[in-house]
Amino acid sequence: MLINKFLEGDLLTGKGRSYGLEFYLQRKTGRFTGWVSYTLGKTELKVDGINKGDWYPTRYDQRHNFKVAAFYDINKRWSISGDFIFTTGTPTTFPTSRYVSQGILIPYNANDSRNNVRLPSYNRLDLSARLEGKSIKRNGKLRKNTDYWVFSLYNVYARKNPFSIYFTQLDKRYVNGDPLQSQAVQLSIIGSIVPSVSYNFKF
Amino acid sequence: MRIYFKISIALLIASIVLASCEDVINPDLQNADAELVVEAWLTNKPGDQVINLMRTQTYFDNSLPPVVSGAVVTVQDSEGEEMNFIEDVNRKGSYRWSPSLPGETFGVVGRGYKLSVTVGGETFESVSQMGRVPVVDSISFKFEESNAFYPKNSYTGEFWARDIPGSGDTYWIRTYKNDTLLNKPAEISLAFDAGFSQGGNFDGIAFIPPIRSSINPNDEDAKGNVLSPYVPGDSVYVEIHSITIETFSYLNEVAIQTNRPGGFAELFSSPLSNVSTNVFNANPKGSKVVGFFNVAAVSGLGKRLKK
Repeated sequence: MLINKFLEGDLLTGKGRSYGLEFYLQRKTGRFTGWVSYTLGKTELKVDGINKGDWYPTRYDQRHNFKVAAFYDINKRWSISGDFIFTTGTPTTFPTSRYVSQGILIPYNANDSRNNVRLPSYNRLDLSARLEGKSIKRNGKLRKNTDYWVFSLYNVYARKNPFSIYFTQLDKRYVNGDPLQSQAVQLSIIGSIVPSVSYNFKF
Repeated sequence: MRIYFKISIALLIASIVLASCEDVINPDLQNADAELVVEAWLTNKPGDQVINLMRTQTYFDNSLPPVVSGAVVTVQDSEGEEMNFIEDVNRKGSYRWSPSLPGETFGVVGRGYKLSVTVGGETFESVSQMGRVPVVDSISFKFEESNAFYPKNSYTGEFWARDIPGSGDTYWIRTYKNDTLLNKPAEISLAFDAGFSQGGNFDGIAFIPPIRSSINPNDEDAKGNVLSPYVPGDSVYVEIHSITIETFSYLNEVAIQTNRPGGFAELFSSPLSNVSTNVFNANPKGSKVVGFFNVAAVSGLGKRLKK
């Protein structure tokens, strides 16, 4: 594409539109703080030659986006926090049908639609605990340095949030006349719980 | 401190291992009607020429495609000569043209061809042209103790051919290793003149090195180790098919849509979209059709790697 003299010939232009509504609630004081946010959104594109020229949701369209974060100070040294995220799944294009051309399996969307389905929703819970270092030495003097530990768990219930689902023929050599085997593969990035420990200090 | 250091290293490794994962799933798909598929790839290779008519299947239907029987299939060239493709009684859905004289081959370089398929009261049409094709001059094998892409002590092959002077020739290189066609989506090898695309401006010269070495399969053993593309005793047969510019674009689209190695490559993949077709219903409001029609002149050469 980059060596095409008529670069504009490789691009399609169209119209886009987006709507949205946001809510945000926050508590700033006390031992228990946090916020809740919710966004209702819709972004669409209309391009001649894609999706039969009708409006279709963009790759970034998120109908619902809900986030909660909470922080609680147990005592002077320990505090805990958690956050939860839920977003509607990303729009994507699934084939309806298949056919074979020159021994290669072609995924085919007979309705010519773009972003006709949504991936499963994205949701994740993270938890963490923070331990402040002692501020007073054993001999009763104030410490010059401050330090703290953070223990956290990312993706606590180890949800395999899908990044994409792709459709492909099984990767093997087919003997002439064998039917080709199709499959759908879901790709998740960080599809497991990730614990971490960090130690921070200022000097 | 040392214990924490060990833990953090372990966690780092774990996070890399767990960073992405792939699962084969079974999502629900939208329903669609079956459509006619025309597979008409004719060549001037000796012997019969076959056009296959099938129907599309639902995506997860892993059986052989349903065939379309009882069609009238003809190809007419630009000189007015008509070739009839008769349905094979033993293989329904396959329509066959047989040479009337021994040694006769299908088509003449430079002529245009018009395909006509009549089935179910509807007529589907397409046009193509048989382009010129250069000869394969030679095939060479190279033994390398170390190579960036293959294991130690590998044999790689290259074919040598020179693009015909005059810009705009498009070719499809097809390789048979030990009589098996290299036919994975990743193995689609196309040339625009002697390069990859029109903008490359490689006209009338030998095919550029990545095309010359596109005859090497990237196969793995059961454990996932990359194998040497060729070992002594293997044979290779390289064919150059002349294709039209429409077919060149079509096969490029097929490669983009079907070559999905997965993993992090998915982060940069393009959305699924339908590949093009050059077969159309004579009645634009009639039923839909997919598939492709190409008439190719073919040159080929084989070689065996000596033991």
